[in-house]
Amino acid sequence: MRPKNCKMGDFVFAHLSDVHLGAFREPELRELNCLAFERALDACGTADFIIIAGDLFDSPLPDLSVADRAVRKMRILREQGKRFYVVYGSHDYSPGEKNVIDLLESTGLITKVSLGEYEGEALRLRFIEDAETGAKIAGMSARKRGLEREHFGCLDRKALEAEDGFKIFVFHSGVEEHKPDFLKGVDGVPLSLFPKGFDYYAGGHVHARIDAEEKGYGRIVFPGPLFAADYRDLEDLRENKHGFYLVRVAGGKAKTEFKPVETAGVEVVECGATGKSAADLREELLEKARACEAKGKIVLLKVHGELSSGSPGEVDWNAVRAAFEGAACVKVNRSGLSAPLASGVKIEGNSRREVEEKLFHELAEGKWDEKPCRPLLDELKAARPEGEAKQGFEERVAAKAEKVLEALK
Amino acid sequence: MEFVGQIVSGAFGEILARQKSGEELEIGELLACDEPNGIQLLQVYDLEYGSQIQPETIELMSGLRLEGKGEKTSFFEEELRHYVLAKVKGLVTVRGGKAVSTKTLPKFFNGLRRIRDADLSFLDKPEKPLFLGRLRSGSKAIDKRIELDGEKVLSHHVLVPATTGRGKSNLVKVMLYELLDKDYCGVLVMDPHNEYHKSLKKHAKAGEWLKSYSPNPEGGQVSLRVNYAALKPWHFNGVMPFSEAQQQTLHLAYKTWEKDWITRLLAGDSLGDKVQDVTLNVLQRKLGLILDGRVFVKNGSETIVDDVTGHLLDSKKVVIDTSRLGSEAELLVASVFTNALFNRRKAAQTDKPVVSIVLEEAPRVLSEAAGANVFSSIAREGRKFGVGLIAITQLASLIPREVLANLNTKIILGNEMKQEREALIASASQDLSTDDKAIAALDKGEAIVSSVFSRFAVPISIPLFEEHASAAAASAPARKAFV
Repeated sequence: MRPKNCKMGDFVFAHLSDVHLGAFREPELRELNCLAFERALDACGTADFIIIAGDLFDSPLPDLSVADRAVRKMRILREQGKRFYVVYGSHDYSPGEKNVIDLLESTGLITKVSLGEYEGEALRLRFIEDAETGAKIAGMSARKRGLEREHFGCLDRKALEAEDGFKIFVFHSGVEEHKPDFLKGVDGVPLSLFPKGFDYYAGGHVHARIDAEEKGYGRIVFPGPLFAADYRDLEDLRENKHGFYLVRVAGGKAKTEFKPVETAGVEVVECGATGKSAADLREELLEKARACEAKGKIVLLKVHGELSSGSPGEVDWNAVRAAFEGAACVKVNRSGLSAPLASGVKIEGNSRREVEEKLFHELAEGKWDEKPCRPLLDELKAARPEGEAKQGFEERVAAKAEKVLEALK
Repeated sequence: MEFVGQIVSGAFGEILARQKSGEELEIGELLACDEPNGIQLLQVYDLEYGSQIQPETIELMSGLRLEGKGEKTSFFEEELRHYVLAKVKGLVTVRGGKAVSTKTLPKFFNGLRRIRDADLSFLDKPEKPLFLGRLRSGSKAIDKRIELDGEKVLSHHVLVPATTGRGKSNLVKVMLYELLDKDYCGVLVMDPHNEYHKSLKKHAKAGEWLKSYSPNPEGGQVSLRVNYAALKPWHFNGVMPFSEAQQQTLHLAYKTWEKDWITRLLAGDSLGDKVQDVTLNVLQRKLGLILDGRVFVKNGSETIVDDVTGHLLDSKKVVIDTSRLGSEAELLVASVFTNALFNRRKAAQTDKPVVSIVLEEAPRVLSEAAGANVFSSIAREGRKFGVGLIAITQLASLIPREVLANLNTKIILGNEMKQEREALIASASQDLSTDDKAIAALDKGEAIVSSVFSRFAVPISIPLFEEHASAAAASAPARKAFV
């Protein structure tokens, strides 16, 4: 360890956030996400340590195959002597339960930097000092629904500000003063609740790249998502490179360099359905697919409007996907697509259950068997328990639903 | 029955009552008179002496005492011969627990007593209460909370007129403190003395309901920075004067350069032959003075206007610290947020929750000289969209009569200026023609509430904010854990 107050040498660190490993249902997108993480770590060759500002995983208990792959790669870097400093994100934190971040810390692979305790009403954070570089790191983890704001309000900022040396503050929250347009109306943490005088504020949570200088504070940086976690991120990937920051510290000054991580190009294909039959829409989509140069790309197919006849289910979506030849993945967004309005059904009942059963009966009109509907609905409307991975939950529900249908055969 | 007076003469609205010896009636005191058809509540509005002795005799007696020729002389049965006459007026008649307008004279010679709790049973707590203070009889506060229907009161505008030092800020703090966690209303507070944030953050639920913005933020306040792109030409209406040519240039610049219009104007870019250089130069100078780069910025803070309006429509209370801003910059900030809010409200299909805008020195934007602007529009038609003003002023007389008449609740604090009292009395929701002296005599923390949503002009005593807040403060929060 360096002696206290010694002149700090130059060093480099990497700043990643919002990796969201395991975020997608589509195996191809999951693969690309893992690939992005591996490529990012490969590009960290010169870094002394790596900061991950939250949401390394998309859930507190992710798919183990995804976690295994990430751990293997991180271990290689760890064996090269690189250190990982991590805070919980809003996705990989689960209240009162152990999660994958805790597990990784137990193995010594990562170090959590959100350490501290309440003394009365004041929250006193502790610094972790990186032994090789002397950099001092303190952090605030995220909570669900932005509840970390309450902790920010109690921070003993003066104690943090009094510490000397090169200081990094790691956090996973939007900063009220630096919100991108798509986060308007969403509460962030006001800058006035952050400790002043840090040399680098390593942010996560905001899925946009931000590198700003704030008077009295320092450099406030959000790398944005490393790859993507949802449809909006994928759309953004078409216009903007996603990646991470390499930060070179020389003479106590931090200089940032954004390092884009290449995975696959993105092609957005839009199609309006208004006034078309389901069959017409299918033909048009197939035509657009054939005309699209999709090879190796992520295709985002956006279909919207109201069909003149037929239902969205009558479009053969598998065929449409297959028509984008060579695409790395075809992700269909048809939330804006609707069928012609069905004639109204007036149902009265004393309970929700009674209304649901009468509705099934009314809609079936004796043409199909409505018996499986009730138990099927019961299985499908089960809520995901806190902490269970989204994919695991969906598979479990699907299995139960299949059982119901099997039993009725 | 403990009578304090007896009706001896007078007419409707100006009844004369003789004060009982040993009692002391005050201006503004509330009295009750038990009638066969209910209880009439009355209020003293003036006091004078009465005597059975001829004036010449009284003057002679006075001379004898003053000149040392009859120090021991006295009137025979003095308490019967000399007395105080109180002028009282009927407020309401309480019948079966309900208040109705008084339309009859109380029985001649009937006794008057002080009001009791049971007389006030008609003062129910509304579903959406706006606390203003405690009922006051003369200078005595009665343990009865005065709460009006907040949703109606706020959407129909409130005027708080008073001279300096009569407790305007204290009243607004008490009102806001009580409103803080009420989900029926959002409030935008323009805070020229940076006092409301400090006061309101004492509320146990401030973390959830209070949002504060300041150019020098501390302790949870957000930086008050408005991006140039949020500014529109009409935001300057009522803020600073522009000639016809300058106004046209502002609109042309906005039309030509859209969201970059301020940046381009400040940079001195040309609008072609349509605009003379001299006009552009003057505009550049005028805008440069108000847009000094501290609060109005070229880069960043793109979401603040949507954030603030979103908070207000979520019933949050938003305090904007304008203490370090000049008057014009303060009004421009208020204009930007208010315009955005009013436009969102006009476009929405609902007028709930009601949103109120607290504005000090209101005549700056509501006087004739200010011209048409968003605040005068709200005063005239904001009610339809659930947007109201809480206008604070020392000079209500500067506000045009038709606007004053639209401010349907007036919380009148003490005012020595006759011209101001006359303007208020002329525009009050109740007949306050006999209350001129009562208004002049109001002490700090005393007020008269005249509202279309109260049965009578209610005298109130406003609690001191510090005492009120500490009494209402919740117990200390539980120890927190940090992982």
